[in-house]
Amino acid sequence: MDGHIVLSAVTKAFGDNVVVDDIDLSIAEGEFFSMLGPSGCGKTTTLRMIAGFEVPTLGTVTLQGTDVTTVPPAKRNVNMVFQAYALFPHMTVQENVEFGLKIKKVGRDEVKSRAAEAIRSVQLEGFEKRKPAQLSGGQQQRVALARALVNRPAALLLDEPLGALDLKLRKEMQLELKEIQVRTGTTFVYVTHDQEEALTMSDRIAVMNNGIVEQCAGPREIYEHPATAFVAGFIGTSNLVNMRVDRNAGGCALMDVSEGQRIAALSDQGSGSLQITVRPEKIHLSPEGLGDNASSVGGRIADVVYLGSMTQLIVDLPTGDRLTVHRLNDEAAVADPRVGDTITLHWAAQNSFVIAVGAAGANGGSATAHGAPGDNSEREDPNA
Amino acid sequence: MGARDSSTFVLISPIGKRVLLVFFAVFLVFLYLPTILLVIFSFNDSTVAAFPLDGFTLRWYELSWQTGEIRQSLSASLKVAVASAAIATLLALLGSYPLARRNVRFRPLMSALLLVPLVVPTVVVAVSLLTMFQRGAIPIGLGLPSIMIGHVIIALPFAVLILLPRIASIDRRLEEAASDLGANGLQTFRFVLLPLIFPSIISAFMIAFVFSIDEVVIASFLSSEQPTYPVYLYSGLKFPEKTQALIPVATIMILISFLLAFGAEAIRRYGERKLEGR
Repeated sequence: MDGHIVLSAVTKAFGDNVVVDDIDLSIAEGEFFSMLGPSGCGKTTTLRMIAGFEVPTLGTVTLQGTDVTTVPPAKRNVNMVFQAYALFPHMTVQENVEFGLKIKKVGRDEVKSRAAEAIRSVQLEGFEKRKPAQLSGGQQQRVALARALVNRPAALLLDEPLGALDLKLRKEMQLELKEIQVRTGTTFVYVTHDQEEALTMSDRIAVMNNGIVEQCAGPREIYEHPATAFVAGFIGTSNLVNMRVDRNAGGCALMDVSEGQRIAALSDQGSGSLQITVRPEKIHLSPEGLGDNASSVGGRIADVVYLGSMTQLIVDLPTGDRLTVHRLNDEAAVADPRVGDTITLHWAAQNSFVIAVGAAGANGGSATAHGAPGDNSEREDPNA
Repeated sequence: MGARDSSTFVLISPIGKRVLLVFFAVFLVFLYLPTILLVIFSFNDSTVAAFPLDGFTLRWYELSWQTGEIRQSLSASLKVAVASAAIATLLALLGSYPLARRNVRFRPLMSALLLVPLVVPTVVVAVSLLTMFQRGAIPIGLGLPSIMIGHVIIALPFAVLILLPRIASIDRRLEEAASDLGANGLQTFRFVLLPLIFPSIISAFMIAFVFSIDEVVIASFLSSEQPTYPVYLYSGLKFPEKTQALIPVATIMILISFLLAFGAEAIRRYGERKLEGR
């Protein structure tokens, strides 16, 4: 694999505890790459192996074509923005930012000019003489960023850098981080457990769980075509439907729920069962414009949650599954349905994402379903 | 605070409170009266340290300054105290860092071993050192260097107790950040760890110094011709004619010890706060 940062068959175990299990990643130069997953999924350990704080038990880490697997962090051309920043509390903003350059014995004038440039790029002019404790969380975050960027690293590694900020500041910093990344052209490797954060900023996202990469693709692909049940559940609202396949009509697996009602998914399956997921905003209350073979199924409203710009309906299906439906509060939405009402939900067949196939289908014996596990991840990886 | 103060617990009755207050006052007097008397007698114009007072004089201060033996013993004490405090602080630093940072095997046991001298009676330490230095395993003989080693042993646990929590309180990620920015181990220590623990180092040094400067048991067991000041003071008290010259120095020692002990804590607290701009 040819890439800027390449992890090949990397495994990390602490004693008997395998934290990262044989993963392969290739990160391109200038890319905003996120590792997303719940705590304990191995994302931070992976980042620390790129930084050099952990040495892989197996496998290699390559940086700009050089094997750095056992090279200590001080000798790697990457810099890290730590969770909770790890700013030197006894140094001023200026001294913090200059630290890396002074250690590398960069000339005095260059230290000054590069530090000034870095401080300007994170909009902290006027705060040079302050110490970290005299700054707000957002400002500390910017110092941490400047302290790393001033070294012009081949890649910037960020470990949940926005975790300590409040929601509003976090949203602002997300846009700012992305802007800095684009402006400097630096490769960002970003670790987060916040799916929205990853979707907002990333060029590509590796969704991790239990030490493996479940899917590695662009944000849209991850959201619209989740490769596994885990990804579907972790990104966005999980809307799983277990459907029995009664018949197949032109590449569309159908479950006949009742007279005139059906659930449809693009699949060659003609029997057995499928587990599918549907995004809440893809479900409509009218069948208009959804084409033939669209899903159309009645359900009972279990809950109605008003969210401002939209209303969230929780609907119990006759299959025993529970769907979340998002309904925009535009002019068309006159009155909200009430709890206990029965409504009919509609969605296009291509919005049913097959994430698991039960019992092999009779229709040609092909179990290859659209969006099946292992399919998307390889197809979408530009470096593969 | 009246009896109807709703914010106080009624565990102690108003009378009980008064009794406690009186007890506390008596306790303070008991604690400080001998010291205060000593200060008073150092200015008393009489050859006997007794009431009634005979007027104010500075001649005892003059006399002690002119007594060569006192000056020599003070100088010996200072040398021992500075050297033992420096060595104890350095050893405590070297011992505390790995205990605070690395995953040392048997960490509780290691910590315990560092702190054991706290509970070993000083006289036991003194006797064992005496046998070891005189004819035993390390026959370096008696004298100031031996006393100094004894004082290192006594002061070490206190220095550890000051340094270990401070080092442990410093976020390990600061060291990782320094290393990430290209610093080697020595640079990380010099530019990140050392400035942050420096107030505690000074504090540990001052406490170790105070321990040594008034230590009498080890110093009297291990001294040869040149006594340290406390030992000289103790032997001098047997001769009434020497007593009046000794009291002023004792007074000054009290003052220095107080200042150092309070100063150590003040430096540790305010030094750290100022360092971080809080």
